[in-house]
Amino acid sequence: MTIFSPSTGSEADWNAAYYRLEDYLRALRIVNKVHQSQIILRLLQLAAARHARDPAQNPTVLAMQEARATMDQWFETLLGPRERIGVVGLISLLVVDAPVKWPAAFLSDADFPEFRRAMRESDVRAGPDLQVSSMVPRPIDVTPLLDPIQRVGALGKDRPGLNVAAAVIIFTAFSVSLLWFIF
Amino acid sequence: MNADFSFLTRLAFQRRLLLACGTVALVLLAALPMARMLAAGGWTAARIVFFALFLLLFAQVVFAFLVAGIGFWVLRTGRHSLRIADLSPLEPPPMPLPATAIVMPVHNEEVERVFQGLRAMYVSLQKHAGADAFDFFILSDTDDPNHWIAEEKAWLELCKEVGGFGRIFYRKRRMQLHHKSGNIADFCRRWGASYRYMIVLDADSLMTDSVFVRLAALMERNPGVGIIQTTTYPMLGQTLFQRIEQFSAAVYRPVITAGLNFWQLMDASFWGHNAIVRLKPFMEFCALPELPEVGPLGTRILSHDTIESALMRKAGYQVWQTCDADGSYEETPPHLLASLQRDRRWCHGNLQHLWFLFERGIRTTSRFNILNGILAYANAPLWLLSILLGSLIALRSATAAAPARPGGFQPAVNSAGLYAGVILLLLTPKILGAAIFLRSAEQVRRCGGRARVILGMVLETIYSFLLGPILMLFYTRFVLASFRGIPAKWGRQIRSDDEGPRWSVWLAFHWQNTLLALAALYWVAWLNPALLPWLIPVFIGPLVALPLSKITASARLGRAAKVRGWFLTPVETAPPPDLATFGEPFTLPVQPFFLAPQYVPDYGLLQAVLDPYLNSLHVSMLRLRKEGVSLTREYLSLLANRLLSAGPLALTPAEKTTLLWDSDAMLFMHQTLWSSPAAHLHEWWQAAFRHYVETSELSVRRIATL
Repeated sequence: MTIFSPSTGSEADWNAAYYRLEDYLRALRIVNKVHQSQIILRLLQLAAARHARDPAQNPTVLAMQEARATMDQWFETLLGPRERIGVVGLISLLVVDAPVKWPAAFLSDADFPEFRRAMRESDVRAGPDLQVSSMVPRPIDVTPLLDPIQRVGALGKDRPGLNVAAAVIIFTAFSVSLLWFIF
Repeated sequence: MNADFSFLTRLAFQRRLLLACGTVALVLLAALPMARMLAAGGWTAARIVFFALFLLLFAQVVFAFLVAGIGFWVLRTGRHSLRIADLSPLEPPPMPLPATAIVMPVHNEEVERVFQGLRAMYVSLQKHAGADAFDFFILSDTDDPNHWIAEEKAWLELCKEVGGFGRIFYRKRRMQLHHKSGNIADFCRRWGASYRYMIVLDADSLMTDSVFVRLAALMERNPGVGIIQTTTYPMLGQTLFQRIEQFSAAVYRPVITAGLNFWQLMDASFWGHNAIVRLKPFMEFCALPELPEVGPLGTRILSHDTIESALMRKAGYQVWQTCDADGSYEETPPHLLASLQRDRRWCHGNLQHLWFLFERGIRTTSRFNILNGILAYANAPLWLLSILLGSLIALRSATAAAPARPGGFQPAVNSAGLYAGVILLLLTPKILGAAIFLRSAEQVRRCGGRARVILGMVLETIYSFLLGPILMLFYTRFVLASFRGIPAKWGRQIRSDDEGPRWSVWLAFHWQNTLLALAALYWVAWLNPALLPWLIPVFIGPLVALPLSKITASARLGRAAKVRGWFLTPVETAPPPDLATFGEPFTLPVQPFFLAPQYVPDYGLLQAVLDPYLNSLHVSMLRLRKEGVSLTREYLSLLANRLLSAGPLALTPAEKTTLLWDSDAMLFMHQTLWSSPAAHLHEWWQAAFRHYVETSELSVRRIATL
């Protein structure tokens, strides 16, 4: 029977590392308890070996680092070398529904041919290849009839006093006209 | 084969001339007695202005009447329609169909509803031999992080469910420049060259597979066509407001559309959705220009569709509207408030089109369409002004110290006749639409029988008469607000609402108009009660606006009406089998943790940081950060560490969004969080972590029992 017995680190620290790995596997939807335990034990042993060389490190940190490294290596054997293989691998797992269809396949050394094929065929692209082209507006071509309006507008653009005076004049003229209409 | 364009041009000219002459003739028929009536009291400035307004507004009423009349005649006789489908044979459809992108711009929409519709359309399209030609794009301008993450999740779930990887794509735009038109333009710049056509959908659009294929085939057979707009019909209405609107569209829209098609032909309007666009000319000619920096209307066009169709026509490509194909649907706003929020934006956008009335090269019919769009809102203050002036003129005549001159302006038979004539002209399109609708026994049966259909028509007519003056007052305020430079915002549309806004909301919304109507009513009653009967149709709407809005916003009453068989539509009782899968809800699996109230505000960010799968998905969709931008690296590192050490409350929304946009930061936070011993985490994260883990246990137990 394999017993986990690290030479360095406190029991509390290794328990914390254990719980963290368990939580992480649960977040990855690895539900099989036996499978979980086997993976956790393996990762803890790797972490304990590193901790023995550098006891200043926190076991939880080491355990999670080992988890990521192990996953990256495993994904690489399945999918080949890729940039950010961990990210690509997790998405592929999600897409093929691996935790549901092949619950025992995660980080397993055993061969699951259908799982392997599904992972390799999973191709998740948010968008097709770019085909960059231009779409440039043509300036609005208003007839010379409106050029005076634009010039007046430009005149008042930086002269707020002029705008206020114009507004007052227009409003007064409108009010007088309205009163004249009515009466 | 393609129809001879010169033949089309001649035909269009003849039909438009016919319509113009008919309009002028009928306007003159009313203008002469009106002029005589006004002249009898002596021409004053007020009377001149009133007469000018009368001519302008009456001409539009007449025009709408004639269009409906023509539509009725076309549908009744089946003659002289010349739809785009008549220009060339469609069967068999040209195979293979060319590459077509179906794009759906979204902005903070209800994610599950969006993907429910997408799924239905995608699944139905797969039945077609030419389905491979169609790719779907969700073009997201969503700026709410919760919606953003939900969209990514939903995209993945949808692709998994229907095998849509490599066919259904998701693009999240980093900078939301120029709203929807900018979103579409961004798509065009990235992928437009890969597709020949683009079908534009709204977030609530639904189209059947046969319409998709038909549109692509029509474009392929008619290379001179730039845009084909389908006639959309509202569906899936829950509230009474929606049900009345969809009933009205089902009954009356066919007649109007047939009439419009008769004279518009290749100069139709583009509605901006549920339409197919030829990409090459669209990209070359239809990019929206900046408006001159003059006046209060702003420089960036809000309503893009009318201008895009005008620019397409200017480039020499035709724009058609189908008036015969079923299978194009949309949802409508759930109540008047939501509808008017949308109208505020459209009003501002349409007023901006004033510039294009004077742009060189725009075709006359396009200018007419632009003017129609402007007047759809600008008419409101004109109507209000004409009512005010008419009332003032009548009051002044009635209260004049001098005895009334012979033939002076008074509510005499002539006025009554004109008044009745206007009402009849306004009602005629409805009567004609109803007549056509009632001829189809199948449609009547699907709508619950003749009695219910007629009851629905009567109720809808009463409702629209009440609504008209309400809209007049609101549109007047919108027009004035636009000219005062108050911007219209492109906010999220409220697309679904079960009980509708509270009474207090409606009160705040309507009190000004109601008070105005009460004051006017009192004033007229005090000065000359004899005028009241003439003005009651104008006043009554704003007076009952509050209860009317509240009642029609109710989904409960909408369902009750449906159960009683009121306001049923054919598509509702016999939905197209192509969209059968729409009935199955699209539900995103949600980790219960993220529904806890203290985490809801940031649940998008939390999911993307905590959940390994969602973190990977989100990171994979982001661009890799370029090397060498050290200041950015430092800033992002600072934000990431602050988020971890102090929790999400220590960051502003903008800072959280900045983090969400950086793949390195997201990966760093995820790995750091999972690697950190519990004691090293901020108490907020400790609690969040604990909660997440506990609810993961529940989810996992559920999975284990499957």
